[in-house]
Amino acid sequence: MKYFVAVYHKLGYGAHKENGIKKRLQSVGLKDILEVKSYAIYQIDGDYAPAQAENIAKALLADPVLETYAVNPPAPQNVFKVEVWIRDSSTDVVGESVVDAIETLGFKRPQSVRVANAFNIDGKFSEAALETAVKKTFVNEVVNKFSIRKY
Amino acid sequence: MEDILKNFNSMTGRQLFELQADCGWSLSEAEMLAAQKYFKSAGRAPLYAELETIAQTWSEHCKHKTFNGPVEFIKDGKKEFIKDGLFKTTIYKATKKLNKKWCLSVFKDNAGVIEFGKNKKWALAFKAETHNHPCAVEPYGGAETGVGGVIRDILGVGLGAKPVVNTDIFCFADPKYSKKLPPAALHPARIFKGVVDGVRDYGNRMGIPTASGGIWFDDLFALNPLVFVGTIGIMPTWAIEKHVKAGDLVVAIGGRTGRDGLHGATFSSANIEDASEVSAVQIGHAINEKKVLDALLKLRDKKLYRAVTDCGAGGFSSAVGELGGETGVRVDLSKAILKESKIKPWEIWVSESQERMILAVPPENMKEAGKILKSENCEYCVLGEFTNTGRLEVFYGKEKIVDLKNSFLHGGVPRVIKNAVWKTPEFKPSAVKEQKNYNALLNKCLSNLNTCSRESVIRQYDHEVQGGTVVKPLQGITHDGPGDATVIWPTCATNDLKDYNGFALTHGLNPAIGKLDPYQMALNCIDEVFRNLVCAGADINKVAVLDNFCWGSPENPKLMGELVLCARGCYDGAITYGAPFISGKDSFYNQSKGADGKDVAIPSTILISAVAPVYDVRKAVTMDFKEAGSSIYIVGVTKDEMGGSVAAEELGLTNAAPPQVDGKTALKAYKKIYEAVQRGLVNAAHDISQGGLAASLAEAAFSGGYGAEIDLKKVPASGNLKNFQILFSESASRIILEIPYEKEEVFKKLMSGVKTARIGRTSFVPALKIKGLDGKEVVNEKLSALKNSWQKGF
Repeated sequence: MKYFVAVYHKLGYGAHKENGIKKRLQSVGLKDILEVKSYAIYQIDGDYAPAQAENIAKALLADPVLETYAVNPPAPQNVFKVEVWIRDSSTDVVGESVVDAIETLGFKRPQSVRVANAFNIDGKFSEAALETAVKKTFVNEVVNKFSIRKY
Repeated sequence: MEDILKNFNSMTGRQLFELQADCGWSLSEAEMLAAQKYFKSAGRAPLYAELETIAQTWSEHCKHKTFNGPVEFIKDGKKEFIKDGLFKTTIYKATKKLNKKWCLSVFKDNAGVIEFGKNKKWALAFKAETHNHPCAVEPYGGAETGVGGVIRDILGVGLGAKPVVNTDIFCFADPKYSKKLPPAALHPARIFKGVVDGVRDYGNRMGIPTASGGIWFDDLFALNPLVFVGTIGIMPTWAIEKHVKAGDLVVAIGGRTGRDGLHGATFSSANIEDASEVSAVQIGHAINEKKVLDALLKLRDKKLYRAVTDCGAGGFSSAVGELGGETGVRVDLSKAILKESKIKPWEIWVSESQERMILAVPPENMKEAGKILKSENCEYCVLGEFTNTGRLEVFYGKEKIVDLKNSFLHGGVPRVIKNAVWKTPEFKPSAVKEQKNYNALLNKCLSNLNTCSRESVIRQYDHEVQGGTVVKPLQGITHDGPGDATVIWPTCATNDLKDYNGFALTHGLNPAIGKLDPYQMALNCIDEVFRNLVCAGADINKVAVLDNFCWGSPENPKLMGELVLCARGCYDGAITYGAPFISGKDSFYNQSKGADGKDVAIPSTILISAVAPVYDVRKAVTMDFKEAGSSIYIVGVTKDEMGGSVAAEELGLTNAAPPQVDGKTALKAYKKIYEAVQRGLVNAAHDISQGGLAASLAEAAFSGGYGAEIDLKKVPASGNLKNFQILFSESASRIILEIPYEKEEVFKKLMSGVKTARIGRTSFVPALKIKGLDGKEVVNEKLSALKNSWQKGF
């Protein structure tokens, strides 16, 4: 079974990263960005009960001081959601480390873990303009796959 | 494919060439015909994995065919045949001729090894690599795996050295590049960011300081950036030699094998647009390599293996083949630990999955070795054993997939003659209208991309980890001035806090001179490393150098001509300065089609990396002025040599002569400076390079927080120079020194016989004031303004 765990910065702890994302997108011509919220998504493919997935997220993936998490979170509303993944054919180094760490914590070893950089972005631009900007900054299609969706 | 290979021995040259192109092997028709001849004499068709093995082993990346092959060279119409190739007649010849006893292992292992410290207990290993093609396609992954690869070279030299410092030198286009790029090309700003991120993340996570480097900007690097990465390690002298014995087990340790990195060796031997396939690009895993490092050094110190090498280009095929080259080896790939189940046997054999090393372990040591590997959480598998058959035998279970004679595999590649031409250009004196005031030009030169501060990059690297970085890349009162060389005190390897032996390391690189005169580019780079080392207080009588040539296609006779001249410059420089080459590498085909469809080659570039001992790290010197009232001296002669200079670029000067190096005179001066530093006569020393004397003075002044008052009339010059040339010429072999008042007489006596002059003094007034030849002020600028210009470059 696949679980998606989203790990968010608590309020005030992600501003530097989010400002950086905003600046990089602006530097390639994306205008009128109103807000960026960045987070990580862990796709855990393993035979776990929902409570176990919750425990993995809580004990391993989220720093309780700086971060919060949600297992299989609902889609964000009225903003673009951008996900950037490492292609399946390339090594996902963080994912590999998480596989080992889950096993070390005493859970059954998962089949795989893949990690995405994600951000929800709000602004007055088209999806095409956002896609162009994302391709020029955060995505290299040689090693990445990505998606942009608005719910 | 097996059906096609059944007819391999009856194919024409053209068909063979098409076959290799379809398979992405980057072999020539002559090489395919040589392979065909072997299989014809063996009386059988080749197996697919055998041809893959040949392609990896014979790649330009692994066999250095251009440097080892004969060259027909025409210089200014005069023909010459270089029968023994460039490597034997230049780089290797210089080292052999110099015959330095402190060179312990050169040109035969993964890195060059020299003596280090006292009592012959320790040795220093140095290797610099390039990872240009991968970084053009995926800058972050390419840079990471470049760093990971060169660290493994150091782990795989002899029986393994402990890495104590990493180096990084890049050539990029302007991050604000605005010309049209081909659709698949990444923007230079993105390449820059990705490469720096990759070097940072790998080095920092491995706990190795990245403490020495540089960046060169030229828009001709837009499609083909250059990424040089190096590592220095320290090892006990008993660990320098390795010997495989028949019966030793072939043990693979570290990362698992997957499909990532297939055809890396052949990829880097081809033009990028020909062969940019996804699987050639890998992602590094620094934590896995740290496990390998920790485990390997424990195994080494317990003497549990007899030989080691890293899996680099060609993966198992080159690492296993190399270790078993003298004996013979038999492996079963079904024993390999894999990342995925769908991988084919030949893919396991040539995969370039990262963080893997091969050990030759005597069977009786395997149990204890296994325990240590497990305790370090480092995965391993026994792939097979070394034999005495002189053959490379590879199985997958019971199926034999490779059976080749070592003598053919390692000695069967045909030698191809390369054509080289060179026409010596003519240069003119630099005709520039003299200005009344040079404040503006000096500020421009300081903020030029090739002069300005690299702090935003350097600060991302942990250059302090391991606690041995004595002289840091950023120097001065606020730790942000441009150091000439880094000094490392590797106590983390020696564990001896009473031994103050360290070493200085630095680099020389100047493609701008190479565009005008490749021979002088090599000499200038060697001279620059000597300047930098002596400025830090290193013993310039024991300098070891490394060469890294990065070129376009060697099929282009003009570029080959540049290569011949540059290699000869290396030879002459090494002999004149008494500095042997201990290791080196070349990277060709750094060219791609631009947006207009035309082939764009990089400027021919050589990197000279250098290391020299600092016998007492407490005596090392930095470049910043230390106090007011000291005398400022210049050593060396300034000439009208504006060619390739920053000022020439700023003013659009063309056809100006590049600096001509007089190595004998320079070396005599450097030896005196070295003695002055050892006797404690020198407060600060800074070399004169990009931006000339004016920029060098400005850097020493704003880094130290003391102003300077200078008189250009006092500067030793050759010819009828104007203020402009004295301020901004980039003549070689010049250094500025800050000498405290009370030590001046001793210093002057020591420097007799060397062109040295007192040109001014340091001051409490925070400004750089320079009087011109007519006594009128030509520069008067606040240090804060100069520093601001220098820091705003990018």
